[in-house]
Amino acid sequence: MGLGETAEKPIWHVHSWPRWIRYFLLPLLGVVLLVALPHLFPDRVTFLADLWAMIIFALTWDVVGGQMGYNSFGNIFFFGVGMYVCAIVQKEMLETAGESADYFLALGLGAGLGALVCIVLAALLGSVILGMRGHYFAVCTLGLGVAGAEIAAGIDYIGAGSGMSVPLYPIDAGNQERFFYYCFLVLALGALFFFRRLYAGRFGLVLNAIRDDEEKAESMGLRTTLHKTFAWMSAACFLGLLGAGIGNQSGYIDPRDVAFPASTFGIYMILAVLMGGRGTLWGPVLGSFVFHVAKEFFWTEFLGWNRVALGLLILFVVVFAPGGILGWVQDRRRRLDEEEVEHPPDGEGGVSFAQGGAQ
Amino acid sequence: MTVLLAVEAVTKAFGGVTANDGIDLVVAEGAIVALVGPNGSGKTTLFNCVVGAHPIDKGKIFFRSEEISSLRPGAIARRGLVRTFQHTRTYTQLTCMENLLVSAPLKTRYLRRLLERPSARQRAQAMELLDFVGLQGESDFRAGDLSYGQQKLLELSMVLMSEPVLLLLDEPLSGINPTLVQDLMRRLRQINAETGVALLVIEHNIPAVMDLCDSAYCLANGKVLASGTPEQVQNDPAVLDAYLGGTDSFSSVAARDGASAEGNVPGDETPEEMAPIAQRPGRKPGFPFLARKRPPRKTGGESPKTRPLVPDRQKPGIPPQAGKEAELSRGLEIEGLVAGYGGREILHDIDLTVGPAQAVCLIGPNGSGKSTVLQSIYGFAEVMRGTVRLNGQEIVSLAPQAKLRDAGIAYIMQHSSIFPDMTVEENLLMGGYLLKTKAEAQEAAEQVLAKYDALARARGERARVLSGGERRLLEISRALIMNPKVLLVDEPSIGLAPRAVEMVFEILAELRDHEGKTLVLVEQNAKKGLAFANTACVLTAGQVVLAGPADTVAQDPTIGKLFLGE
Repeated sequence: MGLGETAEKPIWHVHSWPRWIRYFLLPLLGVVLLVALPHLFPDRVTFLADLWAMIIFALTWDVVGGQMGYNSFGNIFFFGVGMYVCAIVQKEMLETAGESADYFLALGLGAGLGALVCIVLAALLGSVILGMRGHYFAVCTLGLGVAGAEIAAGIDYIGAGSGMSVPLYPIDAGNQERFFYYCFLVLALGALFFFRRLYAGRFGLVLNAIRDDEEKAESMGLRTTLHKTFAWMSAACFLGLLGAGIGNQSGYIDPRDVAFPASTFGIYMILAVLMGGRGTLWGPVLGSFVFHVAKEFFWTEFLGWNRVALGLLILFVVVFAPGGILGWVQDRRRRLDEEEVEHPPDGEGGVSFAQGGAQ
Repeated sequence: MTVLLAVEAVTKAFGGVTANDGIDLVVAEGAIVALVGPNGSGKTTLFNCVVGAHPIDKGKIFFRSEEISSLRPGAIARRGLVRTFQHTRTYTQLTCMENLLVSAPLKTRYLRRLLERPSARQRAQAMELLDFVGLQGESDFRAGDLSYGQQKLLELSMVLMSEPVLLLLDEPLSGINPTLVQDLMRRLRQINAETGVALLVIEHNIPAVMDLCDSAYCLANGKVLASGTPEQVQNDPAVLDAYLGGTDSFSSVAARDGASAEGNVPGDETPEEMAPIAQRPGRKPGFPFLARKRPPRKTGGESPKTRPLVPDRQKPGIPPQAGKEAELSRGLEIEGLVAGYGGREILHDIDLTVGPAQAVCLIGPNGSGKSTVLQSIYGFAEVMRGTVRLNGQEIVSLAPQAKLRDAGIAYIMQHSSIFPDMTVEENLLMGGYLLKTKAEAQEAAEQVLAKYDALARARGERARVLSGGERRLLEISRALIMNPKVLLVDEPSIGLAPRAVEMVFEILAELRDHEGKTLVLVEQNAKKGLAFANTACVLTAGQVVLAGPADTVAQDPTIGKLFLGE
């Protein structure tokens, strides 16, 4: 497949659509829709903003957990670090400069510094933890999120266990909900394009090679540690930025529930990826969407049983589509494609399997 | 002569076992060097030491005059010293093309280069290499969906893609279709001549590798037993003694087998003693279990002419049966089998029958679907159409474990399937996992241990210390715990020294002739397989193209042509 262009391709082959549709019309429609959404559903802006946040969570988890095959339970650590660093920067700036300081400038600087700290921490931690493989890595990261919460709860400067509040969103700056919607939208699209670029090149192939057989990858001279660490750093960067945003969106940082929610969002990000299809670009996006909508739906419809219902849904997907929703779709698509190859309409024989090896 | 690789007095021990004991070895620039020796002599350990996978205990290793003894595997590989694995390793979820692209050399640390997309030149180069190993048609298939032999070829093209200076090839010819062996050797020589890549090759196919190399080393018991030109090594009495037990000489084997196209069958003779285990410290020579338990051999037993054909199901060799029982003993019957993996059809309409206490051998090119036949019978492949019956009972719908427990079918896989960190005894007990009580499994294990002395001596040791031949023996005997009627054996001789191959076939013969087991065998070593089996079946491209009594098939003039897929 893919060598000769057949005249009629199934409609789901997006790549065979005309260029102007793919590169102009579709993106334009998409952008218009995404920008218009908060105006179309003014009551649902926070829900939509959280959807983008969920997508960032899932995308960043999938770099290491999916593409690279390292199950990390500690990614939430970077989320919390970014949140605290940003809040501290904002607080310090507003306290020293008083009322004249610009909220958005402080937020931007704080978020940037938060991301930077996360990148540095990921590089330092990664060079140690990423040397471990499989279960050892997973167990080690498991402690990371919990440790983050406990450490934060012990530092008086950031409010210790009682948490800290972030500077108030200026009243005259327009709708706060909508502002964070656009923040997370831009961040999610940024992450999507960044990881798309990362996976399109050799980098993505090396991550996949590490997932399939790390020892082999090493014996082929691939710089496994460098790639692993960089992958984790990129995830940490986006998580730090997201943390900075979420902290400001909620207005109050509690070390356990908001900054380091290891048992909720720390797990949700993994579940969203598993639902969508790990190791793919769009799987985490799709999974986040389904997960987030289902979570909200079950919460409104089956309050009290919402987590049970969500659990059943996840179980259903994992059991019947182990590759996630996208994995299942791709599998179906491959089968349909192969049926075409095996039984082409003009009656020519299928691709011979053995001759390749024998000639 | 410029020295490329110099191994100086390298010693490596695992626990009490000294796997490499003061080994000296030199590979000159552009040379082809063979590394031979019986199973368990330390060849692969030496490879692991050279590439940095095992830190060495003593000695020094130099590559291009630079000491590499303490470098990490990746750093060594980036200097151009790349190895392949005995048990082929590829990136199974990537396509063949991606496997090659990711193997392209990258000698910079710059991020910009890391993000780089594979260039058109790299793609063209990858396609050329796939073409070179005959996998051009599979470039978009996942590596994990290829057959073992094809993966072997893919791995070879991967290391070539990395533009190495010195290649360490661990048994490049095992699992490769015999007719391809000559071709592959020609290509290896061509690579060596055109690009100047030096090769250090571990290989059990002595005639082929001796023909290929400029110089050779023979290891035994962790030490260099002999080195020099291929002729010197082949004719060294110590080598003959270690390798073949002195019953035959290499040169005569080489002269006989090296000439023919399928000539990768060294040691067709049946030596009286087996070398591999005898070589280990503290081991008594030989395989006493064979001598002890083997009933007197029927002199005519090995002559193919006396064997009955497929339709004659009530073959002698099992005790005469009562009418009702005989009716039930119809053996294994496959009709119109269509099967594959993940919706991909690999077998098209296969018919195959094998009677009780008979052996059928499946041969054919790499990727022709031989292993898929076994996997379809056992339930690891997806059966799309057709029936598989055992003694008249339909078994397609049974799950693999039901086949093992209730239908009496056991499957011995191609790649090593022992549990390396369990003891030999525990491995055997795992074979009885489906039995109702542990006592039953224990009892069956004791029977096996009583029968095979080599295993009994190692019963408390971790299975990873076993040599290739002993591992095969363990796999076969583990399958016997459930007392199966049918044994599906995939490539019993793969990666084994000639003497260990003999051992495995003797064990299989004993199971067939004296215990009435039915055997379905896939064997790359066609000569050996055909000499052993009662009937044979040649597959190409998922279809049976030739079937009949093994000796008739062996002498069929068209067989070479069928193998080549012309």
